[in-house]
Amino acid sequence: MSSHVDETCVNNTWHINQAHFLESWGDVSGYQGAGIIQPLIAPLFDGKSTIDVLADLLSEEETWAYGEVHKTWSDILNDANFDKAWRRVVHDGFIALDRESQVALNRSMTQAAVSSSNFYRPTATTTEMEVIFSASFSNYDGRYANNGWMQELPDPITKLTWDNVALMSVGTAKALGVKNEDRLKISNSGTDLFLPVWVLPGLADNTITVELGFGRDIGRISRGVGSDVNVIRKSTAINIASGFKVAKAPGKHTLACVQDHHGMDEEQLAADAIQERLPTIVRESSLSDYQKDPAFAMAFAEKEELRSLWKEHDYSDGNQWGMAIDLNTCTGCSACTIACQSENNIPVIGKEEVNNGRDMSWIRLDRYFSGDVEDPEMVFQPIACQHCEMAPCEGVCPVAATTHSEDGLNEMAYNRCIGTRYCANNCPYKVRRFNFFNFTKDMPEIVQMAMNPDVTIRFRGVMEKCTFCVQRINVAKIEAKNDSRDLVDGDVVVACQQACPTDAIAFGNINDPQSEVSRIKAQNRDYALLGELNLQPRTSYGAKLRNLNPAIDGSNPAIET
Amino acid sequence: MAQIFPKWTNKAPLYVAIASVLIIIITGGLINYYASPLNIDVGYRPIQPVPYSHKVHVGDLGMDCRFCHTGVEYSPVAMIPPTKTCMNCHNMIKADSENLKLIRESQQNKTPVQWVRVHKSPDYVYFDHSAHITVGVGCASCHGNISEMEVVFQAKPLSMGWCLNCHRNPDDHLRPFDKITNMTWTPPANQAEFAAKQKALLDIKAPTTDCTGCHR
Amino acid sequence: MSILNKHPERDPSVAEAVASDELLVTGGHTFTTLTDKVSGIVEKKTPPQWYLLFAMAISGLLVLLGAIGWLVFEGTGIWGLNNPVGWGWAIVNFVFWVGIGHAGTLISAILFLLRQQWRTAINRFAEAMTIFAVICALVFPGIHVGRIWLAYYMFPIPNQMLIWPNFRSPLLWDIFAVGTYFTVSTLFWYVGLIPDLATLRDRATKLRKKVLGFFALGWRGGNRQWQHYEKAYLMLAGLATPLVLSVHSVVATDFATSMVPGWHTTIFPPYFVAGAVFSGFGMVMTLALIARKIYGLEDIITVNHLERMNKIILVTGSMVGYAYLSEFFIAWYSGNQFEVFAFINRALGPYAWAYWIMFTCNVITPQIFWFKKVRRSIPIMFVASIFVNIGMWFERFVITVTSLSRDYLPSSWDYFSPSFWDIITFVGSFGLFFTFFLLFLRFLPMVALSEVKGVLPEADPHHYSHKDGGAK
Repeated sequence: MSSHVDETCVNNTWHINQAHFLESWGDVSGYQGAGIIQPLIAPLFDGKSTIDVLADLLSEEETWAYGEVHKTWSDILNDANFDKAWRRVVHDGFIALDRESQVALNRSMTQAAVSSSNFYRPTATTTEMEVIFSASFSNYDGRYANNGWMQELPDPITKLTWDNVALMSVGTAKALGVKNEDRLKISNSGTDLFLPVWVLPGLADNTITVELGFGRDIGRISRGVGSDVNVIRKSTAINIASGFKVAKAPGKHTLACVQDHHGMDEEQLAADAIQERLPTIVRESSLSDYQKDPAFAMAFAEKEELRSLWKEHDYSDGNQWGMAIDLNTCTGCSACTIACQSENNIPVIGKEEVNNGRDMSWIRLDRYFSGDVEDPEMVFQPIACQHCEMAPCEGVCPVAATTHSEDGLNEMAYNRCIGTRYCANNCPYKVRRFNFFNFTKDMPEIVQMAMNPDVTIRFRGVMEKCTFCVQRINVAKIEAKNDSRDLVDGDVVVACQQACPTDAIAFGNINDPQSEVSRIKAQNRDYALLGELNLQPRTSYGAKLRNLNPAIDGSNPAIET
Repeated sequence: MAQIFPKWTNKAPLYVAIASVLIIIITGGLINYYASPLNIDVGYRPIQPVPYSHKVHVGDLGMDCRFCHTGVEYSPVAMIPPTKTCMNCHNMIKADSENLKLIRESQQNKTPVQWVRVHKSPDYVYFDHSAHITVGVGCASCHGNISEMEVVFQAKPLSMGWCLNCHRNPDDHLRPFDKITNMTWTPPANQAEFAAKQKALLDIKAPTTDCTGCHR
Repeated sequence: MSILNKHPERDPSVAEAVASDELLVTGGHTFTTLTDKVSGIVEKKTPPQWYLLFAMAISGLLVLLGAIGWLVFEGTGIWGLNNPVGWGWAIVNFVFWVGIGHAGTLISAILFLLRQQWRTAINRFAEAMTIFAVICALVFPGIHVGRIWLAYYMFPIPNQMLIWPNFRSPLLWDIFAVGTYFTVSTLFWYVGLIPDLATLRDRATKLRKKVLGFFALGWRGGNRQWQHYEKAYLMLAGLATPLVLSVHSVVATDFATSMVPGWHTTIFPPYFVAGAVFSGFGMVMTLALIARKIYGLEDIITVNHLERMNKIILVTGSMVGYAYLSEFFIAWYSGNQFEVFAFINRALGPYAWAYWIMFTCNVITPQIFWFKKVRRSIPIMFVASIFVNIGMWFERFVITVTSLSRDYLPSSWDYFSPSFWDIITFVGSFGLFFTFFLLFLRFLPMVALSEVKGVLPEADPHHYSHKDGGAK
């Protein structure tokens, strides 16, 4: 039984088309309660749910999922007035059950786990290398490999899409005489695996990290993407294995990377420039330094008052939308990118187009390394349209397709855009995305049904970018107006903010001093990216503070390591 | 040497110059007018599968728009009524009418009636009925006098410029809440005064003229 | 006093001038021989080289049309553009062609107002070159937009959407600037053609006579007609002169008003104009040398003419070189890390090859023209003029692409490589240019007959009054 025909299905005689769990009745049980799953839609492909099949197999009489769930719940609810209780639980979708929810923590187990003798001691050498098998960041073990969004989501650290690679340290790459995109042969007792090389600062030497979840044989999207690393994986060494012969193989393998098309150590000029700019782009400090100098984030800003050539618009009235992104709490997980893609109908463009530098993410995660190549620091910076009040993109559009709204949004009217790309050139944040082709041309009907009906599907030749989820803003505004009330903080939640697991993104009305975003913007860590350009972006960043354990950062020699 | 061209051609270049300028202006003007929604879209009157008459239901019987178009106050779409709405009454009234054959079939077969949409804005335009109704814009402002239409047709151009005209100056189109669905309401003499009061009441400054008001 | 008003055989100073090759038309041409010579080009059998070149040009044009067709069908993605580099070869080609279009109007208008009579030999086809170059240039902004079928949104046409173009945008200024320039240049060229068309008309018969007669607008060469004509020509020259400066200044504002490091600089308008004149003269030189050879016009386009053009190339080339250096100085002086990097990156970054091609061709090459021998050596100047063309194309490439490829945030830096379609579109634009240019050579007088006659010794009112009594 499976919802898709996958590698297992084709090797079986029988296959039952499985319905999605939201296409059928079902129920779930958790620590604190149980719930009912109601179907949201009749099975699109005539699938059968697991309950349907099991009930059919086990029961003499004809039955289906609803009947089974109903029956189960008559036992759970055990209520004299079952119909009423059932309706209630269907309505609520959930019932709290009293269960033992606390489990005592076993201290000795934890201590044993962290005791140093349990740590794995690497024994790898240049001739006998070690391979680490890690689940893919986006595809996991391959179960999401058939999802274009996941394939195109850049790995937060390597920034690679549509491929798995052999990750290695700078030193190992030097020892093996390989560069990015060279092919690498990893062999172990007769089996060879060929993977492209990707050099990543900060990895352990003589260790190759490979990702699972690629190289699937079946699937409209996943077929032929990357290589299956299971060929060199053994059940005896499922996560880490050693004793691999690794050598350069002939040929090149093009990789689609969304950042650093010229890597850190490939071109000194670029690397130096990045390091020179980094302190102003991503402002960071340590906790102790911050306590001494709380206004450090402002120290980079231009001192003299910045003035504008244009007459500046007055935005002191009404709802004025703004965003604050805290670099302290951002983990680089990229959930915002996917949430945005889902909310805003952002197309998947494929490896070739990503490699051409045409990735479409409205919010992207910039990743910068700094410091020693062997032991680097790394920061993430989510970048979406900054909604500059003095937006450079607006003045240059010859057809006024991008303008400013009364509530401070930098608007993009797709149906007016003729695609001169001047706005994108003039955007210092490079957040504007151009539809170089008609990327939605061959979209299957089922995917079309998954598009957000509140957002226009962009045709080719049209510029697009983050809108601060204007569709959500409009809906909230209309709802508030229909209810004859004012918008309150929290009425508008934008997609990236909603998806952020660490609440690093705050959004709201910056005219309201009590709103969450205003309070965050009032912190002294707050700074505008490229603020010296006087574009007055509505998005600001909270400077990053590091609070390294003195035992790790080496600043306290008194502590033995 | 003989003349190549007759004498009248001396003036020809001048006439040609004047004529070409005129032709360009006139052609441009004609295209601008005749290719606009005002000329192309207004009066669009498709034949509906069921000969439903708004004139009978709204004009003669005095039914309110919201009786059938239930979403209009709460959602972006007014909603085309489902078969059930028709049958609520036509179970009893004219239950055997030949005209209602398709409706009855629809009810029996559980297949929707294929009404033909009359008022349609492009995909990139997000119009919200509820937002207009709640501030007191009447149905007739955009749909014309439905109560006199045997078969509904498009009465207004629904072009961007037409929308903007009202968004820039909505005063003439605001009406008391109890007159929203009134098809024959005309602005009273003191309309400007009323509009000012209405806007103060609802705390609305001006309807949006931002691009994202409609395009997103 | 001009040598033109004197007769060489009577005035010893003029005789000296003739001896030192300073006469504007050599080979002892008279009105008659000149007319025969120039009109003969369009009346007699076309040289076989013309057919060969025309076949090549037409193929190029077809390639261009094919490339545009595919572009409209598929989308801008067929080019090598990417996210930081939103403008690539299309805009480079646009600026390149507009730049070439400068020489014609400069020669015909500015040099006319400055009474530089040597211009008469080259002004006609330089102007033709201008018009065809501007046509080529106009193709590119039209096709580089994503939705070509909506490009008319850029024109201020009243519409049902009640929306106007954005008059703040330099791209809109471009439309007006280049559009006006094209209109005025075409008009100027046509007005200049009228007397010559009449000359051809009077030599022709049948249909040819009618067609030429139609375009000659009834020119008779009467005194009154000349009087009006000269007035109109002077006025058009006055109108065209500011346009020569404005059109490329406006094109420069496309870059200068933006905030991309490497674009955002006030030196651009004069720098672009100097570069445009430089490239225009480069192209005029290339074309003149070829046409002169094929059609045997060595008497009319003399080495003296070529030498003067080389002097202009030297001057404008040095101005361009000065601009290159001052850009570096200003970037360093600004203390702005983005500006500084933009220029270091140009010279040393991944596009350093393009930068040094540009620098060598545009700054070093013209310096050889300090030497008179070199200025008068036809093979050397031919090669140099081609270098100038190449260098000026690369200048636009360097400005457009290197600046965009690395701007503010290093995370979005990328490298631009042209696609197959980029290349053939550019090659195709030469097809378009040469198709027009060859048709012009074939059907219209490539030298401004009436004006060259004005600088012949025969135009001297006293020419016939000396002892020989006139015609040789």
